[in-house]
This record gives sequence, structure tokens and C-alpha cells, in this order.
Amino acid sequence: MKSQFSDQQLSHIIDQSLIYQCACPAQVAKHLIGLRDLYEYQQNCINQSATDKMVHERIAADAQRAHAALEECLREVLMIEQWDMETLAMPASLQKTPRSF
Amino acid sequence: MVSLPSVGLWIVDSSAYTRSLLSDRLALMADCSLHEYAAWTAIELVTFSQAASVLVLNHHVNDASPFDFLQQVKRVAPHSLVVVLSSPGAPHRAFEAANKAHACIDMIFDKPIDLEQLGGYLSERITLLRQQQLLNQEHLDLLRFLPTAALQRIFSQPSPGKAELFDMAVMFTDIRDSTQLIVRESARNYFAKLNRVLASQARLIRFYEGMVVKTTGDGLLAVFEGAARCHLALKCANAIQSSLEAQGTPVGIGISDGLVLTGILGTTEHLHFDVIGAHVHLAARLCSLAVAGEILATRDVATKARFNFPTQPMHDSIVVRGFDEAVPCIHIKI
Repeated sequence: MKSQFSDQQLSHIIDQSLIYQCACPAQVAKHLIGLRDLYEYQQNCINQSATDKMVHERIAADAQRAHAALEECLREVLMIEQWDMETLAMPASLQKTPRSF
Repeated sequence: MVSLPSVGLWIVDSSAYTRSLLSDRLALMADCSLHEYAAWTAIELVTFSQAASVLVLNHHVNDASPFDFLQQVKRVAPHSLVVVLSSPGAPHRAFEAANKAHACIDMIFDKPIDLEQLGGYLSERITLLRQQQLLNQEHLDLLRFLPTAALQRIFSQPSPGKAELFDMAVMFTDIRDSTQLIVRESARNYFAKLNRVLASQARLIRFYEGMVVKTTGDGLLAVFEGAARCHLALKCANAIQSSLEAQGTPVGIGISDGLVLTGILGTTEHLHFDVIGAHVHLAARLCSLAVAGEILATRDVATKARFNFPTQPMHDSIVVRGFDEAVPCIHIKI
């Protein structure tokens, strides 16, 4: 599956967000990981019939499409929030003080 | 009022930002003594293992592998609670695989986490840890109360593997229908009730100069020594049944008397006192046969006790390994 972000980078984005209340990019990253798992799962499914093959191909193709759309979404969200696109570091301005959420 | 044992909450997180989020919120939720670390290498495991402890490791994908550390934690503090916060996907799968191989993690939460959910989970588990601690304290208090000089000798110089034979009355107790109680009540309520039932039995055992050897899930193993041991064991069993009947949690009790092997088992890191022998098996067997509110004892115990209980002979004698012949027994229903 073609991707803009590596697994490591997605995990890095999630690690910095930690909690639901300040984690919009992390939520997107989490679903990207889920789509990658889904795609991988389909690739490893056994085709016992022509129907199986059609089902797996359809799911894999749509997982790829959804993945591409969400990756683009993540890239734009990170740019809007002014993350460092090289290091993928969360800008300090987005970090909540512990009691502010 | 009994003071609650302290529980240490140890947060390990290499990011100062997420560490501050975690510690600030969990300190409010969990009511524990808080310890924060940027790296697990800074934790002194000896200190960690000295009290009931909860470890919350927020793992970042760029951190070093924590698996050796987590195994060490469970080795030095097997009753501690280990919670890992992980990124989903490959990091989560790596933790699951490590846990499958080494059973070193109690719970994995995928990030981003719901702090309310994490806090709720920790609060519940910390309550259970505290209750377990209370039970352990009660047990240790009892072990300090040794009825005879003979057993004091064993405890004053604990030497693993060294054993001595004593004449003892051996008593097992066990809550009846505990499975139904567990299903009917929440785990927390059941554990609290179990703690009350065991503590109340332990107090009575101490009052009648017995000694709790260990808890056995829903019950206790206790021993009595000296010339009046059978009398004291039966009086104690009677008092336990009366007290627990009033509390609505009757137990079954089995008592036998004879030579048992006593000693300290374990290693220098973990020692415990235990009793073994045919009469221990027999008391356990009688306990398993006793219905709620009933005391089953060998006829020998009743004869030696010289205690005026309304007893009835059991129709069937009990066959237990270690005895050449079936053992005649009596039952006492309170």
C-alpha cells in the first residue's frame, strides 16, 4: 500500500497527543493504522472461491482509497495546525496545560 | 478504624508534556502516592516492590524496548499492577506478543486514551490492591501471635526446608456457594465481603489461641497446639459458625488432629510457614464435605475436646490417603 507516512511516524503523532481531548491528528493517525491492518488482513485472507477473491479485492481496494484520503487529510491537518513536517513534532502552542482540558 | 494501606502510582513517560498530563490527572483520580520518571532505568525496583504498586508506562515509539524492564518488575513485585499505554498497530502487537510470552503486563490501553476510562480502571484495581494489602496485614498480624514456644522456635530462625513434627489440631474453613456469591455481586463487593469474612474468622482463631497458616481462596487453614488444642479448635469452629451465620455467610469447617509436619518453605526471597501431612488432608476433606453451617471433625477430636456439643456420628467413615483404615467422624450443626 502506498503511503505518505510510515508506521513509525503515525505512532510518533499518536504518542504526542496521548488523550482524546487534544488528539485530532492522533485520531486520524489511529484510523490510518486501522486501515493498514485491514488491508494487511485482506492480503493474507485465503481465497477459497471466486466470491472470496472478489470480496477481498473489493475491501482491499476501498481500504486503499480510504487510506489515501485520510493520509491527505492528516497531512493537511498537520499543516493547518503548523506541526513541523520534518520531525512531526507537535507545536508548543497546541500543548494543553494539564488542568486546561 | 483501619487505615488503608498506601499504594504507589509510578508513572514512566519519556515526554515531559504527556507525563505532566498523566500525573496531574491520575493524581486526582487515584488517590495514591505519585512517583514520576522520565526513564524506567531511574526506578529502584527494591523501593517499588516494598509496597503495593501500580506502574503506568506511557511508551513512545522512539523509546528503547521496555520488555526486560517489565519482566523484572513482575519478577520483583509479582502482585504489582502493570499498565502500558501504547500506540495501536505494531507497538501494540509487540506488547501483546511480549505479554503472551512473559505475562508481564496486566492491561494495554491504546492511545489516544480516554483518561476517564483509564482512571476508572486504575481506581478499581487500586481498591482491590488495598483490600488485598489489608488482608495480608491481618495475616501478618496473626503470624506475629504465636501460641506456643515450639512454633516460635521455627519463626525465630526461619530456615527454608527445615521441618519439625508437632501434634496439632488442624482446621480448614471454606465459604459455601461462593460461586453464586461471585456471580450475584460485583467483584469489588465480593472481595470486600470475603475480606470481612476472613478477618472475622482470623480474629476468632487468634482469640482461641490458634494460628492462621494461610488463606485458601475462600477460606482459611489454621492450627491449634497444646493439651487443650481440640477443645479450643471446636470452640473456635463453633464461634466462627455462630458469627458468620449472623453475617449471612456460613462456612463449612473440617477439623482433624494428629502429627503434622511444620516448617518454613520457599526461598530466602519469599518464605512462608506451612503444615503438611495426612491430618491436613483429612481436615481439608472434611471441610469439603461439610455443608453450610456444619462442622465435621474426627471422632478423635471430639473425644479429646471433652466438649459438650450436640454431635452426631457420620454414617460414612472417611477414607483418606495416609490412613490405613477409614476414619470415624462426627458432625456438629450449629
